[in-house]
Amino acid sequence: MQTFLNLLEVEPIRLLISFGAVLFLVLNLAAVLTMAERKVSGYIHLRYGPNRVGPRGLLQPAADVFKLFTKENVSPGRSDLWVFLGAPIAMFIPAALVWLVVPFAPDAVVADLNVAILFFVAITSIGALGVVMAGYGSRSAFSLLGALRGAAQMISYEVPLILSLLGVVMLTGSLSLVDVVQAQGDTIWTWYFLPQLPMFITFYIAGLAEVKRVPFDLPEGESEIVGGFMVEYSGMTWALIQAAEFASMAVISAVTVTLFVGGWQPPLPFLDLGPFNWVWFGIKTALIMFTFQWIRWSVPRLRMDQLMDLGWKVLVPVTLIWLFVTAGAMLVF
Amino acid sequence: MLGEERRAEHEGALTEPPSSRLVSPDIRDEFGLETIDMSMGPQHPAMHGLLRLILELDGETVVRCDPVMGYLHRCQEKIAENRMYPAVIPLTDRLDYFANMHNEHGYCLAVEDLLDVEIPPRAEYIRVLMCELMRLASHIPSIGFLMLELGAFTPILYAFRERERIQSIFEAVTGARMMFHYIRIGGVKADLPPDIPQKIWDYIESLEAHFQRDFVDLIQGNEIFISRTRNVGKMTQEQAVEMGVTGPALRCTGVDFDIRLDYPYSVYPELQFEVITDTAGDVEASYRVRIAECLQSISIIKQCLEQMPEGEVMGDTGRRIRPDEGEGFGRVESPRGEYAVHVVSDGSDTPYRVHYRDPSFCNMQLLQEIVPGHYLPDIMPIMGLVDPVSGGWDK
Amino acid sequence: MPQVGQGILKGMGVTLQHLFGQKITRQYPEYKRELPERSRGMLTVDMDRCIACLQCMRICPDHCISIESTKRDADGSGKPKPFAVGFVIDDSRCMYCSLCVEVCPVNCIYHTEEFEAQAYDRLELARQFGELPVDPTVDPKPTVKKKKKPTGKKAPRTVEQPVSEKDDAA
Repeated sequence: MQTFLNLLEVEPIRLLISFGAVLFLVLNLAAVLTMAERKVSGYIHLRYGPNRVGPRGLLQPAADVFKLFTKENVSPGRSDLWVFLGAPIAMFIPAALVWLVVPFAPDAVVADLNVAILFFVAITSIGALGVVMAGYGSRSAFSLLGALRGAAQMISYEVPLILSLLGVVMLTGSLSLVDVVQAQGDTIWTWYFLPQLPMFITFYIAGLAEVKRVPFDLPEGESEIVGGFMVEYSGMTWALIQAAEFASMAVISAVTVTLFVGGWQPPLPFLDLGPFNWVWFGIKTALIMFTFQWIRWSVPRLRMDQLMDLGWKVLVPVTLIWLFVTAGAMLVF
Repeated sequence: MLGEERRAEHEGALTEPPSSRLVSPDIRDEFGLETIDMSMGPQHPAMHGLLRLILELDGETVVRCDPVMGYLHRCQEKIAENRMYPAVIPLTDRLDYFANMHNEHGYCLAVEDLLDVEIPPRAEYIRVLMCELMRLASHIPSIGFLMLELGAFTPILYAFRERERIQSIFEAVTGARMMFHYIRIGGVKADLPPDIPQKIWDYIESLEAHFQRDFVDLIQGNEIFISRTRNVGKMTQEQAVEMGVTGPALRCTGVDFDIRLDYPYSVYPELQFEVITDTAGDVEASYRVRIAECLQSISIIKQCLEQMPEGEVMGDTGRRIRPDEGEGFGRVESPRGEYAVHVVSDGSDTPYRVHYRDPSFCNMQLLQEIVPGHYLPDIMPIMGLVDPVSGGWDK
Repeated sequence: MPQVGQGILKGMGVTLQHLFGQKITRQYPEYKRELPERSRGMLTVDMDRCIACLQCMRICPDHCISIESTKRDADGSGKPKPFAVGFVIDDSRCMYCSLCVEVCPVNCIYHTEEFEAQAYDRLELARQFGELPVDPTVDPKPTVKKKKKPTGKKAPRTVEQPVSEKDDAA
């Protein structure tokens, strides 16, 4: 045990072990989130959700994964096979990589980069690549439309997403996520979501659009383009796309918590749990993810032109104005 | 009228008509723009039944939309020619499977027109009661389907909760949940079971208690719903009338055509109700019309239960139904519009010819006319406006 | 846009109420709904009472009932009467319309509460009731008489449609 802990001190080994742990976490998170999604949707729909496999249906994800592993991996006859098969990987890797810079607790971060926010921005913008690859490789009109929508949407919403980060960066004066959390303090009213409320809402909406959740799930749009870019996928490739979707949803929630809701910080000083402060991080992330699911089962989907209107005509101006307001306030105070 | 204030409110903000989004073929040739051909359906998760739409897309804009029907064709009219008159009734159940009672009612009206049989008043009241329950069981899921097509999954489950409860009432009365075979030539199959009127009262009260919450609060004010449906599928009164559209799809343009009032049948003249119209003629207007019609149906059901006389439920049609040579015609207001049946008799005990005029089929003609120029995602709400049922258009 | 978001929040309130509300699912194989008295399940025949009048076979819209009948002196009265030696109900065709039940003069065919019919072969759903099996794949030849050919003889008379004032106005 002691030698193992000593190994953690050695830098490349620590990185590898912690990266493995994060990857394990992300893959399991996808399973847990599928379950949560189905339970929440079931309860909202006056159903029970899956409740047959295991106690209260908790083993359902395992059964699903088993089923998906045993399924044949079908690819369309005239598809561009390498692009088709590469797309799920291109979607999953960015979603998993962002976890490297997310601080779970003061010391529990795989890589405390001093440009963590830049890293996050850079990695999330790769996500669009996988969608385009999937749509192009499948060689289907539905997939192509889904990919075009996905590319347009993810690139457009990148702009308000980045702009809304800048307020936090200005207030903190650092691009490191650990610094951002520490600057927010351990009281709920000093967290950045209050002074940066418009930015927080913009980041939340842009984040929803970035991970293609309802009401911004146009690339999937199952009622018009059936499944969009993932209509031709089956078996484990499909499962990987789903895992990527859930992982990126979890990432966006975690980054929202880190940037605006105080990361691992307790809401009030006396609630400080010491080494167990990652519990606060988990609770907050779960709450944000619950709101994602809650919204998903409550509202219909936007249309492409309305989506673009919202992004460019509402969110971008709001963020720009609030950047000026923040800058002015920093000058005055 | 419902739409008046809303129309005035948005008169200034009217967007350009969808046809202005179409690029003229000359420009397309000049710049070498290509269109995508896409086949939507017949196996499409959100398509209403087995409909295939051949679409020509310019990006996301629909240039051409051709509905292809016939994937569920069962030769119902031809089968009916080889069945005895009473044995056709269970077949009419299979037409528009969201308005089975109305199908039976229309057919029975047509045959009764041939027979000149007198229907006992209690039977008439039971027919109207059942038809209005059926209208509720059809309009509420229609609203749910509209939301499903817009991407919101939840309302359809609340809608089906209501439908299932109504179906349980039907099961107790008729013996089946969907294929009732209850309205017969000359009356209805059997009297209501003694506990049913109370059950219907209880159900109607519980529906009124949460109708506002589940189908109005959840949907009506939602900004995304409004932006997806307002001015989508907009049609004028002239267009709708020329296409032979009936039902809520026609009434949402402002034409107050309702068979129940314009060509009264059964006991509708004795009941108090309004024809709901809206002026906007778009998807949102059709939603509002359906919601208001549900409330009207509730009121009709209450009146039926209050006014229902005692007595027989079956008129005297003789042992074998063998009408004289001639033609019979019956029309009812089904949830989707005018459902009419034309029966020709040659004096034998099977009809010589049966024709069903189904509103799903006639309303479908709208698609070719109003879809071009809309975006691809708008097709689905327009389908919700038309609300066709594949058993109806394919017969 | 003064009240943007209000409608969405209202809708989300509704879904939140349902999230914690009473669930309406019934777990089917464990929970079985009590069927109403009139519910129409799979048909069954009481062969002792059947008088082989073939009424049910004639009225059936789906031709799902086939009866093989002979004359037999079953009750020992000395007079041979029609007797159903073979009686098959093909459940893969039956649509539970209840016409046969209504038409039966001795109430020997009736609905049960069974409704869960399933089989790997379509023919397994044909249930035999008589002494001899009847081939369910043969159409029992509905005894509806050949139609008179009305075409040419006498054109069907046309009934004038009632015309209301509304039509005139339009």
